[in-house]
Order: sequence, then structure tokens, then C-alpha cells
Amino acid sequence: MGEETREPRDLLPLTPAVLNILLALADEERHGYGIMREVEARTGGGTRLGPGTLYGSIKRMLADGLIEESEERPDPELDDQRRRYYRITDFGRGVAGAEAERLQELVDTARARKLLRTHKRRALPEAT
Amino acid sequence: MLLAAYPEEFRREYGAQMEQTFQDLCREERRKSEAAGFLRLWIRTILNLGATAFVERISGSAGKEAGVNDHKLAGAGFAFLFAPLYFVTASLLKYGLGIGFLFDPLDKALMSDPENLRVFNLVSPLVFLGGLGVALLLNAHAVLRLNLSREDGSIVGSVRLEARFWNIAMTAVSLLLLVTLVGYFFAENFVYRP
Repeated sequence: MGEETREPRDLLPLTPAVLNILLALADEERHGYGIMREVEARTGGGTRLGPGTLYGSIKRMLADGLIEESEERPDPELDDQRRRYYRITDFGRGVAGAEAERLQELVDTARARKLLRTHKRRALPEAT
Repeated sequence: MLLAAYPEEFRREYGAQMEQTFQDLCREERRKSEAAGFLRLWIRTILNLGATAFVERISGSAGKEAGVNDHKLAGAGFAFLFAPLYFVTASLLKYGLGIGFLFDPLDKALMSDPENLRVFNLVSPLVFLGGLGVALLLNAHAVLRLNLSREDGSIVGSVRLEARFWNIAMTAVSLLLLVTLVGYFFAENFVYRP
């Protein structure tokens, strides 16, 4: 039986955990702990992914084709074999982009209705 | 030990990674040398694992059942609605078009004898309405996906509608028959008095 053809918008809305994981993997491959640290650093400690939330989300994201496990590993002497690295797929990028557009539409509506009190942008940590 | 709360399949796949990640978090707290931070990490982790293990158990079994057995659910749904479908079709053909090849055997076997008719009147609502209800629930379950997860202290739920043709068809037929039989019941037993 062939795979069903899905559009990125079919998976919307994303949960905050899934979106944060996709953002963490958008610029480089990471393992679970690395994803947790990136999310915490990017949100200034506002979002902390627990291990259960993280790996439960990873499991569902692998099933949905948003991310895939990476075969490339760093030098085994420098890394624990239990670590598994993940990377975002093209479909995952599409879904993250669609979710960002959806959220942008909401923000634009809130701004137009004067619900945003200030237009503050927090400085994001530099990508490594 | 905390991982024992998760389904076996999940533990097998992600248990080692979760252990490694937790060790990394503990090492980080030890570096900060704050006992309170260490305690907060343990409490947060226990609460997180408890909530997500529950979600994995309910979504894992439901997801697996719906993913593997959608056609079986459609088949089971058809089995449950066969009796009411037969009865309604036979009645419509008999009393609407005068075609009795389906209804006449039913009439001869179950309704011509007073004792059999009494039993039929007692059992048929259970079989027809109960069967339709079960068929409706089974196939609606295959079509609707409910996901619950805990995110930053809030419970986040999402409902996804899956386009599974046979399950949607069984759901629609069940609903149609249910409405038909309930409407028939009211029409036969209640009189409108203006």
C-alpha cells in the first residue's frame, strides 16, 4: 500500500514541544540533551523540555516523518554510544514553516487589534 | 526504575537515551553545586515522566489498535450493523416497493408466532440499537485521533480527523440507520396532537 500524500498544513497546529524541537534541529543535527539545552537557551529558560516530553515527541515526529535519525556520529571516544542524533527532514522544514506562518498570522491579527502592548524583540542566542 | 512506567516498546527504543539525558542533566546540576537545583531536577523529572508515561500508555495502545486494525474495525462495524441494516432494508423493500423476499422469511420465522414476536420485540432493540451504537463508536474511534500531552504544566490536546474511507462509510451508515430506527420508533409510538 502506498504512503498517503500529506501537506505540511495537515499536521497543524503543532504542540509547543514539537515546534521547539523542529526549531532546535533547523540549523544542525543534535542529540536529545542537545535539543533540551538549545530550547532552554533560546527561550531564556522559559521552556524546559522534560525527558518524557522530549522523547515522546521525538517518537511521534519520527513516525510523522518530521525528523530522522542521523547515521553520522562524532568520534566514539568523544561521545556516548547511547546518544542518538536527529536531523530535520524536508517535510519537517515545511511543517515548521507552515506553523510559523500560522503563528505569524495570529500575531499580525493581535497587533492589528492593538492587543500587543509593546513590540519587544528578545535577542536570540547566536547559532553555533 | 522510573522508566518502568513506560510501555515496553517505548522503553526498548528510548530508555537508554532517556537515561543518558538524565545523567547529563544531573551532571550539569552537580557542576552548579546547588542542592536545591538538584532536588528541583528530580521533582520535575518525576512529574514529567509520570505524566508522559500515562500519555504513552493510552496513546500507544489506542494508536497501535487504530493503525493496525482500521480495516478490522470497519469489518467489525459491518458485522454489528448487518442485522439492523437487513431489517431496515427488508422493511423498506416490503412496505415501500412490495418486494418481500427479504422480509417474508423474517416474518415467518420471528413475527408470525406470538411468542416469537414477543421475544423479537424484546431483543431487537438491544441488537439493533446496541449494534449500531457499537459500530458507530468503533469506527468513529478509527477516524478521530485524540492526543493528549503535558507541556510546561498545561495539558495540551489535539483532535485529528483521519480520512479512512471504510471507517467513515461505516460511521455514516451506522448514524443513518440509528436515525432511521429512532425516527421509526417515535413515529410508531407517539402521535402528534396539535
